[in-house]
Amino acid sequence: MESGRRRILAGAATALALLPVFLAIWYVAAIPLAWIPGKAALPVIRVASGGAATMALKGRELVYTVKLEMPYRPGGVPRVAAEVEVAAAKYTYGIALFLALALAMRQSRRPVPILMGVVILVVLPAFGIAFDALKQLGATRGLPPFLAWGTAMREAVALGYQAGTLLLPTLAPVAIWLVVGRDVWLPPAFAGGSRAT
Amino acid sequence: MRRFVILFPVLLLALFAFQLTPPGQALVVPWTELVADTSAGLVRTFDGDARSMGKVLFSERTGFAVSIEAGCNGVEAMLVLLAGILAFPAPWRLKLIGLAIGVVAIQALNIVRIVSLFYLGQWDAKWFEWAHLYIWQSLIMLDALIVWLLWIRAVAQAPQPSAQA
Repeated sequence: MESGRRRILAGAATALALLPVFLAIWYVAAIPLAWIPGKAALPVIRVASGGAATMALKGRELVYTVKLEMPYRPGGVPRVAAEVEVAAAKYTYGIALFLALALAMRQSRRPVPILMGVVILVVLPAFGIAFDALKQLGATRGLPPFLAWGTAMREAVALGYQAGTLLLPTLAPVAIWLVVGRDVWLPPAFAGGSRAT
Repeated sequence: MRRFVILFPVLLLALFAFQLTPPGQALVVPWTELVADTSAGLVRTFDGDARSMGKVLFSERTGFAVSIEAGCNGVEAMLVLLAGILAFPAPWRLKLIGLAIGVVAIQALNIVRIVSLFYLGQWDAKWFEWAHLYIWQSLIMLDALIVWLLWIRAVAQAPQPSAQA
């Protein structure tokens, strides 16, 4: 077998062996890890909902309390408060995949890029968490009149939720690893940008 | 390299948005049903106790059922691989070969995922959740990554066509 191919398969096998170890470590650290993207998601939730939002950790769940108001009308200002729970672990487990990949191959075992990758992967789940909370707010009975979202906003929330749930958690660690470990995969001709399509 | 970095996310986002639209769903829904049907057929081969109805795979004996939703039909991983292969500079013949092998590799592992979750769910809900939410999601993306890495090695070693303008 060609050496490059053998190196990739050996690296993949090592990553596979490391993955359960890092998933176990991640699971232990998942609660404090949830706090950072949870807080980072707050401004997005506030701006998109147009209300006041606070966050609390309840077990492994992030609980967002959102208070919304409608413009003044005779009889007072209509107010409503809603609580939505987001399972943050669904968005942060990519850290384990990234560490397994990064440490599996010698060419990507570079401490500073790995640390930077981990920092990005701690903050990035804020995207999925924010859109998960917004999707739930949009589906909460009685809330849509307070949110006053148009069709475009509802579509954007749906797309953001799908991308944040289905793509980002696994794609982000792989994409960051491709940057950190580009010596593993980048063919010399491609690196030089000289290939014709 | 710059071309790939720009083209890959653009293609991925376009493909991902398309599969959420009604024409995209017209392809995804029958595909998902085919995945459920194939999984049921595979389970029946071994212990004869699985049926599929639409995108739901269920056991007649225990009543346990799994619904194959978005994220569990392997479509997202196929889209990532499709975008990765299309964005990478390579002859179209090699792109088509890479895509064909990639679809088979991803869907074969995805069938294993569904069958394993079907049994795991009947055994222990906690392990089902763990495998469903974290382990298999990572493994399917790892599968797509390995196919792509092997494919670009093959592209780099393929005989070069004469230079094009």
